[in-house]
Amino acid sequence: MTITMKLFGPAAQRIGRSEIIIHISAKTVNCRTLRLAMGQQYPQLAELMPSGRLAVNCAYGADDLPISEHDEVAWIQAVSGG
Amino acid sequence: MSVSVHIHDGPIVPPNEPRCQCAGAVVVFEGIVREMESGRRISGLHYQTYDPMAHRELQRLAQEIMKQFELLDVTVAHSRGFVAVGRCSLRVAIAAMHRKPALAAMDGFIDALKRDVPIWKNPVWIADPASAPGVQS
Repeated sequence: MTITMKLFGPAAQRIGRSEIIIHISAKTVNCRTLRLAMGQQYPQLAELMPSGRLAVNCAYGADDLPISEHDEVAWIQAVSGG
Repeated sequence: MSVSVHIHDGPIVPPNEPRCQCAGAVVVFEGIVREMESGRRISGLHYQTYDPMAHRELQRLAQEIMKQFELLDVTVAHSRGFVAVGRCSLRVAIAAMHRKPALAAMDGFIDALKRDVPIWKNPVWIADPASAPGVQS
């Protein structure tokens, strides 16, 4: 399965672009397994990950939330609005 | 009872909003761009928003405090893009029958916004060696 993930703020600056592609061989993917794959495939994001969360279709996703290739997935690094 | 959420390009201009006649308290918070960030002078802040989710989260948080504190009205406006020093980037107006729930709701809402709403700010630095950290004028 191939997941396209949107990046914003510090995560996008760290990678130098606003989207990354994550490849996962498993047939089923959830937020937990996507996070693991993200840290393995993009180690430059690993140190940011404790202060970020996954969003699926514009809502924060629990670890066991299933994800498909058609979902809109975004990595929400620590926010700073206001 | 109503919730209103808007994300605007540039600074927020205070509206001339009608007051609900049953409100005994209206609390307004305006977040203003400071001239210094991390000890350095800036010209302003550039706000990046993940628009559909930012709007959805603002709406969700506003509805939560509306219910929790039995508010009459919540109006939220947040900037995207560049906002110059001294201008407003966030305006929240909360109306309630009484003062205490309005004040408590405002505090809780701002904390939740800074935790959950996908908006990021980047300082736009002014090239001024005298304002660099550790340099005394």
